[in-house]
Amino acid sequence: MLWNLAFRNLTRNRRRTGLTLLAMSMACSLLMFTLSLNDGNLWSLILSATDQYQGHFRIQSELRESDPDLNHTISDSLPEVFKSPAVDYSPRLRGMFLMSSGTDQDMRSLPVEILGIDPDREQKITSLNQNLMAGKPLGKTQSGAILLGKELANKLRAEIGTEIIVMGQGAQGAIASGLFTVQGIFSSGDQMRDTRLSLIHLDDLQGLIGLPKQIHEWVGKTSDPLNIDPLVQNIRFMTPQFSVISWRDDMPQLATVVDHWFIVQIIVIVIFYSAVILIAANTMSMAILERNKELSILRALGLKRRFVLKLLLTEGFLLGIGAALFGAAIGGGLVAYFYLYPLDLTPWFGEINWGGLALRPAIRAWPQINTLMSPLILICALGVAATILPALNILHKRLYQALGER
Amino acid sequence: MEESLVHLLKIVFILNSLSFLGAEDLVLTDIIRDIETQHLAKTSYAKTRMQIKKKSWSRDMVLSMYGEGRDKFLARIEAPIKDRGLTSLKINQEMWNYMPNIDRTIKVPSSLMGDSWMGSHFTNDDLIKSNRIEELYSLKKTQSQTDLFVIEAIPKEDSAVVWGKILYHIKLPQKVAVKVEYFDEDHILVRKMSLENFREIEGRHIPMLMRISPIENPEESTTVIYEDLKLNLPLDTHMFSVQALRRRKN
Repeated sequence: MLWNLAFRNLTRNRRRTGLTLLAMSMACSLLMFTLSLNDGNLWSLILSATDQYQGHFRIQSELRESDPDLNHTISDSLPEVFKSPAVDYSPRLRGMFLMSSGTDQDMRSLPVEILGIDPDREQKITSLNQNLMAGKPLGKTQSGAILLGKELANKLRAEIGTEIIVMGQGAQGAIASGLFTVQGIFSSGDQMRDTRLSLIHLDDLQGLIGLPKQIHEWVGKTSDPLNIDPLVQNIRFMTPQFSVISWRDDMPQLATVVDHWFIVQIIVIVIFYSAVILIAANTMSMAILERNKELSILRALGLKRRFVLKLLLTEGFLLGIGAALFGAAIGGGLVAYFYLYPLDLTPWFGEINWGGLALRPAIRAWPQINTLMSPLILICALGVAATILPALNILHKRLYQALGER
Repeated sequence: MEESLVHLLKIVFILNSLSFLGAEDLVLTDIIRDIETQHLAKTSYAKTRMQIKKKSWSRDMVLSMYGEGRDKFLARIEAPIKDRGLTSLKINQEMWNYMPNIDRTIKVPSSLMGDSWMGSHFTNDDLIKSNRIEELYSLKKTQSQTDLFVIEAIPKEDSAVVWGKILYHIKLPQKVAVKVEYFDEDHILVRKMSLENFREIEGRHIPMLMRISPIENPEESTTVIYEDLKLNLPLDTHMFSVQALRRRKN
């Protein structure tokens, strides 16, 4: 009977219930969306720093850490110990070359780094092979195709189809030289990198340098880059013959910002939660105080204070549930949209160069269980909690005073 | 009258000093030019063996080198077979590498003249001697013994050069360098070159062995041994052109 009565009370004045429900569900959805945007900003920072080139961590020969000698390689078959469903790996081989294009009379030469990648595996780690301004990405098999950074292509005056000559150091002191055709021009988000980096298929570079089945590093991507340290420590412990470098080691400035971000996030959460609590409490309070006379008549008819209180708390709970459902639908929809389709602000603001990183400004939402669930739980609890004070206020009034109020 | 005489003596003394200094500068310039061009002449040919020793690998190459004066130079790898025909050509201040396996030529930018030549400890610049030390550096005699003295070369202002200081250890009476030390811009010793096995060819004392080793990795070195050297021989001067590189493929 209590639930039926509470439900009927809510539907009796639809305008009042609708306005209360709207205010609470808006507060809930805005809280959900804002917290997800806040997380999205942090993730944008990490993703734009790691997804364009770096990856979350890399594993290389221990010798290569102190001496980046071309011959300090590791096998291109992934050790069993690294395999994990939560981590993807991509092999990379590097070589320094003199790159040239043009004719004998008008030749342009530049020192460059050629990165050999496995396109299939690389796309699970970074967008290097996808961020093309022109042309096509590298295919699944070796082909003599090369992708140039956009600044490098400008300096070499190379276009799609241009023949590129490369010459450099091969394995064991041999001299490596080869011919490639420009298949694409990429932008990695870092102007410096785009001036000196080019990509070819891993098999092509292994053949060019003379290092078959060898690579310089495994680049890894985990589902939880914020919590990278335990994974890296674990790999270091299991394979001491390798050197493992996380994004935190490579980009200490970014790691510091991320660490400070959590403190800022707590402050933001406190501010937003306070605002939502005030909005919801005020709306509920007004909705109950408006019913002063009605509730007093119920008491005059013989209903006990405790029953009226229970009735109001049930109504508050039902309102909270309704607001949570509406809020989840609106807020969840917004979060899902900006997660799937982040708004890239680069066309308006350009890339932000900071601490050696090129960051792409974007409005991105990042759904996390705690940021999605906590506003829902809060609004349900608020529906009940915000009822208590105004209800007690009315119920403790003497009947003649309550009925006499205008 | 007496005062005028004193003035005249002062002027004579100053002029004398200046001419003396100028003469010494001139001598030092000549010595350094002779050292830097010791394997070159109007035309020259050399067959050399280059032994490169690095921490993780070592390698032997046989080279044929041709020169016309100081401005044209060509070095061709004869062995190992895999790299045979790979050629470096210098004309004035420019350098090209020809790769027979792809039949293409690549120009070496001036910014890479200080980089390693074919993985050795010699730079492109060492090979082609594009830097004219006696013109780009100020020369000064710093130490002198009865049979040895040292010439210090410091870059002149606005000179775009690789080294911050070079010390030439000159042996007398032949006036040949037996050791050359190269310093970076902070005057820290970076590498040293020793020159040995001097032989007299056409009136010159020429080192037939040069060994260069980096100070940072003393176990590494590159040794160039001259197995044959001919100066002022008849040469087809058309060989010093980019187009001719391809014609000489085999």
